Amino acid sequence: MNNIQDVSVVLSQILSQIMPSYPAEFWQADTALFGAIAEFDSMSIVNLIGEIEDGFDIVIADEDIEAEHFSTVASLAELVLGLVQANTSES
Amino acid sequence: MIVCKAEFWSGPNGLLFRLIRRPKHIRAHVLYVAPLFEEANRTRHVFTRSALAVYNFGYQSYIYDPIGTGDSQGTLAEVSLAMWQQELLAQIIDIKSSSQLPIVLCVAASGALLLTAEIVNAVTGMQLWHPEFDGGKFVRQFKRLALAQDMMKPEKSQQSLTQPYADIVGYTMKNQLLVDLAHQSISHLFTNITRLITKVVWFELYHQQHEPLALVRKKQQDQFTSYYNQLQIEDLIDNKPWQANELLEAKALIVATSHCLAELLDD
Repeated sequence: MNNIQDVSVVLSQILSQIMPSYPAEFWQADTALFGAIAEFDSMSIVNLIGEIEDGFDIVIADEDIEAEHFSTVASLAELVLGLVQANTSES
Repeated sequence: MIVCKAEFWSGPNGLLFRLIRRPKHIRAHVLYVAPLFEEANRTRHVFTRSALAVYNFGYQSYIYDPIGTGDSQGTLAEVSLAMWQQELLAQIIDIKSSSQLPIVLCVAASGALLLTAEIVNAVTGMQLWHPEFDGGKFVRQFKRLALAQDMMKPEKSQQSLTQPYADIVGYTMKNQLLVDLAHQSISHLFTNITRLITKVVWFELYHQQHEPLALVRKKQQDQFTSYYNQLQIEDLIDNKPWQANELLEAKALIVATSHCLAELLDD
């Protein structure tokens, strides 16, 4: 998985699983997350991080748990893609 | 009508609040072990549903608040991992002291971090609900709750392991508790078990069909199997117990749990 669209699609699936009260089509690249969705609380963020780490086999550093990375699906996808690519180049 | 009794049970470290559902003809006992911290409250609903479901098979169920949590005695700041492990074992021994019937543990998620060799081999069966045996990962995730909450605040909180106490999303606890939890693992659990005499079923939960098993989950299953090759793994498509509620049920898990508990009585 090496492009932002593919990562966004997987992230949308994960978000849909964590917050099933929203229809699947709600989750698009430009969907605003942090500060825009009431259910996107600290527990959801941590669940999301856990699912992302498990699904992409990456580790999100504590320094990356910042509002800017969690502002939209696309901004989160950029963070994840960067970590996936860093992982790939290391191995 | 289902008979449910609330009691304060005198445990080794204080009074434990317990809800006991006792059928007229008891055939076995099931003790529910909740996940830790925030997930505990969220899992209570599924425990209750499961306890009601197995009541008709003759299972006497015990749902309890660990010491320092919920309605049990003490505060979280006084608790150690050893205390939680002692009180779990003490309850099993107490049940055994007055009953020869099978005892089964239903352990949800991070509740698995409380298991010791002594506890596991003291019961007849164990059902693991999407267990988390990686203490390091659990503690990392728990600490992230504070980081995630900081995202919502203008000022960052300061946490350090050199301080005696940690304050994470309103939970004040000894840092040592987190250190001890972080050391828990499958290999640690099996260190003192030469032979596992307990029948263990592992329920792995998926959101949807054909979802691949995450690598970290597979590693845990493989590691458990390497110590205990009789492990029965059942894949279920259902909500995680701590994400379920009145509207979002964990029906498949409750049905599968009931089925396995009923089977155990037939063995």
